[in-house]
Amino acid sequence: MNTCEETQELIPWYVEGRLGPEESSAVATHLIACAECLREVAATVHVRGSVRDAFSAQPPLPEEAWERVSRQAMGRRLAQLDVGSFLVGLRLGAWLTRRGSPLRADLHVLGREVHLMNRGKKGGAS
Amino acid sequence: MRTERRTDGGEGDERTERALLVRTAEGDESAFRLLYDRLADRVFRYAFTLLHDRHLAEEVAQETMVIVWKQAATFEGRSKVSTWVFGIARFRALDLLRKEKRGDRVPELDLVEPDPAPAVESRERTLRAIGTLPEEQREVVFLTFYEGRSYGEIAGILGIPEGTVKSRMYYARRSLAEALT
Repeated sequence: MNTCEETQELIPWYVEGRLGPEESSAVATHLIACAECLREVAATVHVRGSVRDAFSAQPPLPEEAWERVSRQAMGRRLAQLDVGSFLVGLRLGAWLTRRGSPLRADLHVLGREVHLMNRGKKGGAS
Repeated sequence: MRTERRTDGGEGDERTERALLVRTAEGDESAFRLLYDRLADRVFRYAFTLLHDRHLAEEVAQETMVIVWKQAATFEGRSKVSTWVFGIARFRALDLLRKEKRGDRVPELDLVEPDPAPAVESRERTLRAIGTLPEEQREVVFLTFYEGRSYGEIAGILGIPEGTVKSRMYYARRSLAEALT
């Protein structure tokens, strides 16, 4: 059977449900016989709830961050040509990046995008 | 604004993220956008836990996601995609701390706008308690209780033995329990 020390080290992940079956069962077996460790579980449940609540309440990453990431990663769009309708369409685009001006082609079917070609980026065509 | 974003640690999530990363490596921008939506905010929150500065955390999240775009093809699949991404974010955050010599800064405590509501007071108290923890304990608390990660995954992200993760969490939990009860 686990000692109190071994059990208490595992309690956060026991409470979190992130232990394997064997470790989880060892902790549970110990808790049946140990009031002190059971109190630790109750205290940890309280801490976990408060911590999750506090972290969740933090403001999220601003929406504009995507614009900056996409500009840095994929560059600035030079030109784009859309042909077709919402049902089926073809989009051709040229982009300016630090590594050149890649060309892209995507097929749009019922609002879903199917990637066809990306020449000149990330090591060539795909 | 409140955001409940936790990984379920499930295989479905991982399969999806691997598939998105493969497509990202091929230059598929829509796949990268989906990957960004799944990971960027979590990376930002993790960086904020380490840096206690929203602007720097934003910078780290952005840099990390740009690195993911550029280096997607180098992912070897030896860990979860999110573990790899968090590892990149951690490296960037610690690098920033070193460069800016901000390691000894007093963490910002006014993380939530003042509000007399009891729930907000309680959150502020929790954030203050988290803010007093050493950085290495703070990140373990975040990765366990917000991200819902196993100690093995945390050891992978931090590059430390599992026993060290457990002991950091042990002391963090004791400090927090004392401060919050």
